[in-house]
Amino acid sequence: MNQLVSIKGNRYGIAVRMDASAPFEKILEDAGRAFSEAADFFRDARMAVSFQGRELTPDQEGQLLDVISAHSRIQVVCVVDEDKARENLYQKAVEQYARSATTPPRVAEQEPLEQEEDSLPGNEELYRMDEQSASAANPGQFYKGTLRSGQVVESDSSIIVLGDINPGATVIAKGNVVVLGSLKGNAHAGSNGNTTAFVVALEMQPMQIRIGDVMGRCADGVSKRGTKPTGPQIAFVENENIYVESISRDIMNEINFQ
Amino acid sequence: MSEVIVVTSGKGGVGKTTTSANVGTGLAMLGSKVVLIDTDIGLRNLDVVMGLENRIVYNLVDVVEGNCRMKQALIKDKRYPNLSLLPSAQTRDKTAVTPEQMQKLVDELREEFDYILLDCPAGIEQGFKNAIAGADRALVVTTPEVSAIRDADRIIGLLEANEMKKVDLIVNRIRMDMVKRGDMMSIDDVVDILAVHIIGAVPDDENIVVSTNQGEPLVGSASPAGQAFLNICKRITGEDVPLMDLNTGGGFWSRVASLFKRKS
Repeated sequence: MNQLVSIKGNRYGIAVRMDASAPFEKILEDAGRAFSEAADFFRDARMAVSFQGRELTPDQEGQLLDVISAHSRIQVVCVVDEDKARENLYQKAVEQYARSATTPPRVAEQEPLEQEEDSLPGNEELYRMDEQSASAANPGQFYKGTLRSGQVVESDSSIIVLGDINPGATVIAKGNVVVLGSLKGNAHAGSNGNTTAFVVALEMQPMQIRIGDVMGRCADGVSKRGTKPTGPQIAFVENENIYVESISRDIMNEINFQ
Repeated sequence: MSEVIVVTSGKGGVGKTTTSANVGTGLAMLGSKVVLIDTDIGLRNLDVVMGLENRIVYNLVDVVEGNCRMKQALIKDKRYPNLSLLPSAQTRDKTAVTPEQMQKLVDELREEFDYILLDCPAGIEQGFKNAIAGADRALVVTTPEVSAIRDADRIIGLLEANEMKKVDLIVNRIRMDMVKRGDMMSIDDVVDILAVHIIGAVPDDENIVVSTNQGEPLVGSASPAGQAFLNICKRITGEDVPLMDLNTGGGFWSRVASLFKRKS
């Protein structure tokens, strides 16, 4: 049977391919059929949609969207014009939506999609990170592996490192830094000047810690003989100074971060 | 007035960084204004040997690229206010700097310091070329081993080809007990092969390992290596100091060692 409308899904959205020659009424009809069939498959997924195969007027686009919502429970986050970077845009839109849905409403109000472009990392090292976690817009990123001397990991959000930061290695995050291992190198939390950020490590023996624009370095002559284990500690800023304390319930309660 | 000295060797692991740290500290101890520059971009460790690693904020590449002023990148030594360190970058490689940029940087430092010591990376590639670009004088470090001497010979050839005005030799890690047994080349043998002026010989000394790990150069201390390095510094400033008689030192230490050997 000759279908006028077909739906193709990818990771972040769906592409609706339409017959170019058939009259628009037929297309609408067939779209209804196609989405009813696919409704069970997509359920109430949030998706970006692109229309392919024919030029649509804004009015026609609206009609199609009505058909989609009438015949399925798909929540259309946005409509994407057909172009090469399509998947990229889907990804951003969906992730942006996902973030605004999980963060407090205060943040959710300021949700312009265009801003994504500005906050993209401007640095190679970061792109590498993004490929790994595919989530520049998330409030946190994970990095698995030990950072050795000379290696730098930067993040636009907070970062959790599953491994050690060796001397000479650096972690930089606009948010907080959490090291599930030993921090023996440099850590820079709140790199956009946010002094409410903090640094947590299971073993805190850093060379330097920077939080916002406040910097602290380790005392001299500690490396003489094997340093004693510190246990989990947190570094934070108070009165323009960096304090490092063992993690306790009281300390955790006092943390106020944005 | 000021002198730019590059410490180089060709072969790795013969003691360039240890020599740089100790000679730099020694010259500062003798009252000169000294700056140490680590030119080993990507494999920095002069800062570790000096015990200044935790103070690094900016580095040589930042200065060259104009990310900071020279003053911001220079780290003052813990003990000698007239000694500074310009650390190298760890996240970059040798190609981040060109010989011309190095020359300019060194010339900028000439105005303020009496001695500018450049710790050269091993090898004869870009890093070496960067390090020797602005230098007036070279200290070639070697150990009394054929491999190190072969590389030192090559380096001396390259230095001469680059019209280095003055090349001096430091024989490092010499063990007089082994020389006596005929198991190691003597200082004279090394000088015969390389045919350059020798400015000092440093005995093998386990205190070096301790001082390196503690991040405190041992120049000037009572240890044999500490004395040898201080003598080298004095010779650099133009003082006439006779070569240390390592025989007594080596003899004494070998006697101590043999004493323990007999016991066990």
